[in-house]
Order: sequence, then C-alpha cells, then structure tokens
Amino acid sequence: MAACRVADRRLSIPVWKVAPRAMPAITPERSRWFARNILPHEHVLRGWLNRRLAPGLDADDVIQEAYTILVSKESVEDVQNPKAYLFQVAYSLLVRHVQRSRIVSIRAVADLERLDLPAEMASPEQVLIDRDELHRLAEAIAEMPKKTQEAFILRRVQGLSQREIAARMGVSENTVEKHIVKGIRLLIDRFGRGGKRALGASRNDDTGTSGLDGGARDKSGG
Amino acid sequence: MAERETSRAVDDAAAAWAGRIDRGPLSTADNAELETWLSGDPRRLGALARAQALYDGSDAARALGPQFDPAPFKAKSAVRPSRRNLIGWGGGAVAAGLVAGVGALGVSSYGSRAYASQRGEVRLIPLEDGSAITLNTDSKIRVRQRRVELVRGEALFEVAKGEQPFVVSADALSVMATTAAFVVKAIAGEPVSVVVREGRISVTDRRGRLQLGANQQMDASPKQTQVETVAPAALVRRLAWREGKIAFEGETMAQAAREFARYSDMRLIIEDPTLAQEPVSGLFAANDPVSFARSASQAFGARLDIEGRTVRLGRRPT
Repeated sequence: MAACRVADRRLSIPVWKVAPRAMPAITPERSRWFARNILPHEHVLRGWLNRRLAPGLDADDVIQEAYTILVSKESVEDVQNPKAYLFQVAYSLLVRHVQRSRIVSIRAVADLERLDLPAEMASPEQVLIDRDELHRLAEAIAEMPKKTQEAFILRRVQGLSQREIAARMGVSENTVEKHIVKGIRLLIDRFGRGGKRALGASRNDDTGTSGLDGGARDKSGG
Repeated sequence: MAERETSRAVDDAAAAWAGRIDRGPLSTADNAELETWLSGDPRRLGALARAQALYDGSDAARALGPQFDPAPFKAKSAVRPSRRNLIGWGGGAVAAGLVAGVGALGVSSYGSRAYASQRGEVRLIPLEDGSAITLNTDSKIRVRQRRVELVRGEALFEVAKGEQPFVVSADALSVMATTAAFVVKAIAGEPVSVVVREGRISVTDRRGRLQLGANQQMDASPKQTQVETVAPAALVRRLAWREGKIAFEGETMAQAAREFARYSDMRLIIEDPTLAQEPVSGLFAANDPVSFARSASQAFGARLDIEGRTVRLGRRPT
C-alpha cells in the first residue's frame, strides 16, 4: 500500500501555467518587489517543501519555477499577501508534479490535501533590511576567491562598472564578467539554496522559521 | 522525459546571465539568446530573477565604505574581529577614534582625568587596573582610579577584578561592580539606562538599590525605574556602535534619524510624516547616514535629496 495510482483528484487550487512569453525582461520594479516580498521567504519555503517533496523532485526545482510564475505575473498589485501567494504557487507546482509522476505514495497525496501553510502567514512586509545584512554580505565577500573578491568589491562597494574594473585590474572585460558571475553564483549558494536566509529577510521570518522548520523536520526524519 | 537539467545548473546559467546583464546593455543577439534560454525551461526565469535580486541586494555593500577590508570577516574563528580590524568598518571617523591612545583630555585638580569622544568617534580607554572603557560617539567621562563619572553619552565598561569595587555614576544613578561588563547611557532628555552583558552589578537610583544580572536592562527616569530582560541578540545590536555601526530593529524612521544625528553632523530630515513612522531594521555604518537614507529611499520608494550636510527624504512626486 505504499503507492497508488492518482486518478481524478479534486484539487481546488489551479495549476498556474506559464504562458510562452516574448519579452523576458524583469522590470526593476518587479525585481524590487520580488526581493522585498518573496526572496525573504525562500528559507521557510524550502523547509516547507522539503517535508512534502515527491521522489525525484528537489525543492530548488519548485522554488525556481515558482519564482518564474511570480515574476511573469502581469501585475502583482492584487497580491495582498505575497508570502501566502508564494506558498500557494509552490503548492500548485507540487500538486502538478505529483499528478505528472502518477505513482506517488499515499502519504504524499494525503499531505498535499491539506495546504497547511505556516502559521504566521499574515506578515505585513514590515521590515526591509536584515539587521545582519551588511555583516553577512561582508562575510560572503570575504569568502570569495581573491580576484573575484577584488572585482566584486570594485563593482559593489566602489561602484565601478565592469569596464572600469577591467581597466583597473588590467584584465579583459570578459574576465571581469566571469568574476562577477562567480560572485553572483556564490551569493546564490550562500543566501539561496544554502539554507541561509536571503538578503532582505525580515526578523518576522526569523521567529516564524524557528517554530516551523525545526520541529517538523525532526519528525520527518523519524 | 528527457534528462532534466539540475536546479544547480539552472542557477549557474542564471548567474552567468545576471553577470552579462550587469556588464551593459545586451546586444540583439544576446537578447535573442537569452529569450531562447528562458523559454527552454520553466525554472530559468525564476532563477534569473533570484540571481538578479540577490545581486541587486548586494548593492548594500556600498555601506561598507570605500576602505572596506574583507579580511577580518573571513575567519570563521568565532573570535570577534580585533579592534584594529574593525577599522575597516565605516572608514574615517571611526577609524580615527579607535586609535586606542590614552590621550587625556585634561587633568582636573582632584586627580581625575577626563576623556571625551568626538561625534562619530568610538574611543577605547584602557585603565591601569586592566579594565577598559569604550566610549561611544559624543561622550565624556571622568576617571579617578576605579571611580568613573559618565558626564554625557554612552560607554561600555569592561571591569577587571580589583581590590576596590568599580563604581560608575551617571545623573542620579550609580553602578557598582567587581567584575562585569555593562553599558551605561546618559543622553539628555532620555532615561538613564544600564544594560549588563556579563556578570552582576548593583545599581542605586532615586528609588533604591537593586541587582542586575546578564541580559538585564534598567531605565531610570525621574518618574520611574523599569527593569527588563534583553534578548542576547538584542544586546549584540545594542553594542553595534563599538564597530562603528547602528542596528535598528523595528525603530521608526524618525527614531533612526535621531539616532544617526548622534553620530554625524549630517542632518537627516524626513519630510513625510507617514514615512517617519515606517519601521526599519538593518545594520548601518553609523557615520554614513547617506547610505542609510539611500537604502530607505529604495525600500520605501521615497524621494531623496542631498544638499550639503542635509539629507531629505520625502514623498516621491506622483
């Protein structure tokens, strides 16, 4: 009784479809909205997803795809509670993957029936910049390889352009670009999938997370 | 289903695109390539959004100041950076202040020495008995052996064991300790406050005497005395000034502006009353209210005007 066929499931939450899009650009406004309202919840979302994943699916797959849906949305003005919305989108994606994979454990489906969102859903985006942000950023920069670090500091701390950095360091612009890319990659690892909270995460989340992740993760381990 | 690209590979490519976009406007060919890439997998746009948002967020690194030296942040050694290393933070004024000299400001006729810090300065004063006093911005003390008067401002006392008790007086309040670390703050118009980081102290004020232990705070005004427990994290924030930083945790913009005024002669004026009530959190270079104002203007979508030594934040014209 480990697995069963999933037939018609009545799932009230629609599966978001990503329409083929001609214009991929992410507007600066959307990017800011995203950084402020969505990114800070990634850590909680990952924990939440990890407890509900079907085999063959990784939380980051769902997160990336959910982000695609959120940044492709025509307008976000109607999104009252970005965190709840993010979780619903992620949830719908989970459901879709479960349906696609056909063979799933009964427990996975039963779990999916309840969209038990984290309790402190009503999080007004009260706070913006994490109190440790600068410190953690400084640490992230400190951990970068030497040349990458030099380029990254010139770009982010001194505000030089990639071209100016190339001149300053006596290397090609392509090389500078590679260093910046590497720096970005390290930021993703550090603040994204690494499980550390994103830049911009708020204190509210912090407290929410400890109650939410800790206990439940322990349970699923047993 | 074809072999699916891993989410990690998607992130690699997303970082590459974010780096290319950061270099400058994309060529038509680049744009076409980007579109092709994006349409190839539903995760890619999301990954790019994240890469760009994280990269944009790293713009806050400007607040580290032009003299930022990453070296002290590297070691995971858990030892806090030495004072010398902290010079990297926030540059000029703080660095100047951290020169840990015992340059006496003046010697009074009673054999006590006075020390003062400039605005924006953090100053370490080692005492002969092994104790150390760190003065925050715009503060003044008088020291006579193990007796200290906090004339104004804020100071951290790290008291080494000695034969005599160590006594700090501020306004109508006096603190006695044998070994302890605590902060006393006496700012005109605010209650005198004492926070204990380590050890136990005995505090006497107008209403009597009480004992405070680690993580306890007392605020004494002529009207009342209040004692509360401070979370360890909050205590760390309270001491951020030692590193030339200010930490906020839900203070209003108006309070933040007042706090910055303690550290520099830059004036931060919040013209919009709604904005003045917005809460802020974050860690900022104390001597750089402009970076703070810039972050705030971005976060709240407010207009930012800098004119000489005045920074104004207001409603964005619609």
